[in-house]
Amino acid sequence: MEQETISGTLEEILAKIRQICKNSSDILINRITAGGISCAVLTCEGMCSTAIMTELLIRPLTEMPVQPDSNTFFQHLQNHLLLSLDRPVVRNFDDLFRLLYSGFAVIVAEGQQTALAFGIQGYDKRSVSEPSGEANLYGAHDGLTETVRTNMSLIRRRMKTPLLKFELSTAGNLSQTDICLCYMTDRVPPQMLRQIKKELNAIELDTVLSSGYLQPFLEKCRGSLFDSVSLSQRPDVLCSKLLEGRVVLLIDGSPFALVIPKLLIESFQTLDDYHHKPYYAAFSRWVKYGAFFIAILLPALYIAVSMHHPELLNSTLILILTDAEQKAPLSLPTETIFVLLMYEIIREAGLRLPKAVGGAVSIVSGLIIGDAAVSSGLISTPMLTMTAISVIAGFVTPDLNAPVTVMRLLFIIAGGLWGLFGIGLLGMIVLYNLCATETFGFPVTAPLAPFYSRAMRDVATRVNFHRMQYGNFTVEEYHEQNS
Amino acid sequence: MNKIHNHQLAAILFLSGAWSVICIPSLSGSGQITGTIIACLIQIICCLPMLALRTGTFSNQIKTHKWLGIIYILFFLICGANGFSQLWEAAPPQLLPSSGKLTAAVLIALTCFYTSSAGLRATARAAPIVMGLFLISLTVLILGAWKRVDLSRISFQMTDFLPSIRTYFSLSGELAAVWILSDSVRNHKNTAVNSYLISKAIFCILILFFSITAGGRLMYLNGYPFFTLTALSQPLQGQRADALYILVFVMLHIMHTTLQTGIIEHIAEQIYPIAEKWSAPVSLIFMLIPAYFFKSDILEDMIFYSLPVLILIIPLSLRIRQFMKSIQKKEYSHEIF
Repeated sequence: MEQETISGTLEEILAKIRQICKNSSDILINRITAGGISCAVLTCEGMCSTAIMTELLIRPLTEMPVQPDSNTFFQHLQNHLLLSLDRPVVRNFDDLFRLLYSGFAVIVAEGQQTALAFGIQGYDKRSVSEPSGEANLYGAHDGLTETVRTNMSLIRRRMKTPLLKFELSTAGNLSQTDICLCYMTDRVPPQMLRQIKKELNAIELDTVLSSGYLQPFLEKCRGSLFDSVSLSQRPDVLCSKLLEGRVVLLIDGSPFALVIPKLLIESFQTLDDYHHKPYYAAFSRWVKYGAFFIAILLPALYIAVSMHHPELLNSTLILILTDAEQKAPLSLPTETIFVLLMYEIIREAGLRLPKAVGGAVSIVSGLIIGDAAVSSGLISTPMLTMTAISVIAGFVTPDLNAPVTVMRLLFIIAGGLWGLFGIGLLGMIVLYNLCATETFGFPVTAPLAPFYSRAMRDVATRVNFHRMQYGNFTVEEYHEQNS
Repeated sequence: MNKIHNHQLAAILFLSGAWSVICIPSLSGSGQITGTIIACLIQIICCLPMLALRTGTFSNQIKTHKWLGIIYILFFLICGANGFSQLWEAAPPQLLPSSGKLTAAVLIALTCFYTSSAGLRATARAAPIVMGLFLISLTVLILGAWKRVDLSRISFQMTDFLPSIRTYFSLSGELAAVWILSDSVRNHKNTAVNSYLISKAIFCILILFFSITAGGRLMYLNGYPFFTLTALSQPLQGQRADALYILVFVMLHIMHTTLQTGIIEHIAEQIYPIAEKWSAPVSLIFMLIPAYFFKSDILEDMIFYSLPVLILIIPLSLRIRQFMKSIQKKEYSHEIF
């Protein structure tokens, strides 16, 4: 894009604009004479509201009294006509096109070396609706949309304090995507904020089409199985994160906001936990912790115990398992890996297909393939039960689906090859990988490692709000200094 | 070196030391408990001057005295080799995979290559978690052994404790790591070291106590009290649970070897920055080779004789040297004026 400043006659400026956009069909240039001054109103087709443009721009311009020169014309526009609330002065072509493509109308006048932009956006956008993920029973049912300004308003509606700051900027050299950093000025760790801004400024991507484009730049640890930046679609969740001193990054075009930093323990916390009675919230948390380990380890433990350490089973179980496995043609690890891969294929198919066909996939996979495989003796029933329990347990923490899926397979291989010894080895590798994961000096394992006893009130249990209202926790407590 | 918390240092040292404790080869009687208590007290006394007389950081010391770094590297190589040797000797066959002990050692070495590359901070964060798992399994072990305890098998003895002092010292290689790691602790270094020494002694006494009282004569015949105790302590009624201790076994050995490898890596990086990338795999290979050829008692002897030099004589001599230098400096400055 051109960093060149706007200069020359109106004709020259318009020629330059046409030259930069290569006469793109969606750029509309309307030559008019307003207040006796020759000018042009530039818009991008489909990005502006026609009604607003007529009411706030065209009518006042046509009714404007005659002005002595273009300077007075611009002054009059700025000072006497409240055409729009958002009306920046444009000095170069770079800003001109960015605003134009963001739904602004731009006025260029004869003899002026600047242009005036008016925010009259009116493009089609999805209305606020319930998020597809992060289902919540008792919390709010509105979720983020693809429009960054709508998302800003969703957060602002819940945090009516001047301490909440929004910082708009752009990312993507070509896409010029609007991104918005949100943080509480009194709680955010200043060092982290500085580093995040530095990282965002250094990004040289051409386009930013989703939050996934920016996430790797904010995760400082390479080769990690676990995310150190989290995603959320829920404005209420984002508000709770902001209150803890985190930074939220909204990206135009994505209904997912990035939250920096992420703690692993958050994957087990939902907003509903704060609605339930503390005893039930604590119980459901421990169920989730258990489900996480079941999701990763159950098939591997089943294989390791059955193949390498059968003395761990009682006689009845051994008889049942032996009977079932004798009929199966494949070895236990092969059978389990086959079932899990089939499940992953079916899941992928279900995700990408239209909803109407998705149901058919479930029927074919569940009833026909599943039932036929068991009745033909291709797959043993105990192994299928273990795998199904493990897969269902994985649904409890959808946030951790990617690492759980991969780890489950790796543990099966390790358990099948070396029994509990292999599971122990891989367990240590995963533990070290997890413990080495951090972003901007915040370890994902906090508050467990390093251990903060005060945080256990919302990790091991969930204390009631009478106690939780005191303490003023911010994530800065978990920051680890180097050297 | 990254800063770690004092409780993390205590956990790292304890877990490394706990590996040596579970590999104690034989049980000699109640005097072993007395010996352990005395050895622990001696170790606390030995550590006091090391911590009190520290002259600058260890990194600065080895930058100026490269020979010092090389001595420590050799010592930690011996400690690591001893760990592998103990693995081969102590582990009952049912604990290791069917592919054999050498494969087990190579797999552990590969795992340690990864864990040591994750850095000291990752080790420090992992240590309290491993510690928690270890304490759970220890509780299960004790609860399982409780019903077999016969207190009449134990007697207070003040004799025959000298060999156990020696054994306890030869299993305390991580003491030399105290000086190096204490650089990276934020505060309360002495608390961390004392917690480690006391908790290791308590763990050792617990194992010895339950081995004597719950195992009786069987323990003297079988050797390796910890492993015999795991076989005796069965918390489940219809099935054997010894195999579950494989997880403890693996965790402790990895923590032990990672500590040695991590420290070697750190020292090598200070002395020869170019060796940073290669120090971990090379040191693991140099741990496996002697472990394959030497029995653990030879390596333990080497640790026993070199430990006083590393934790007492070197820190003291460096302090004395610095003191002499400061006196010379003062005299020189007096002459000038």
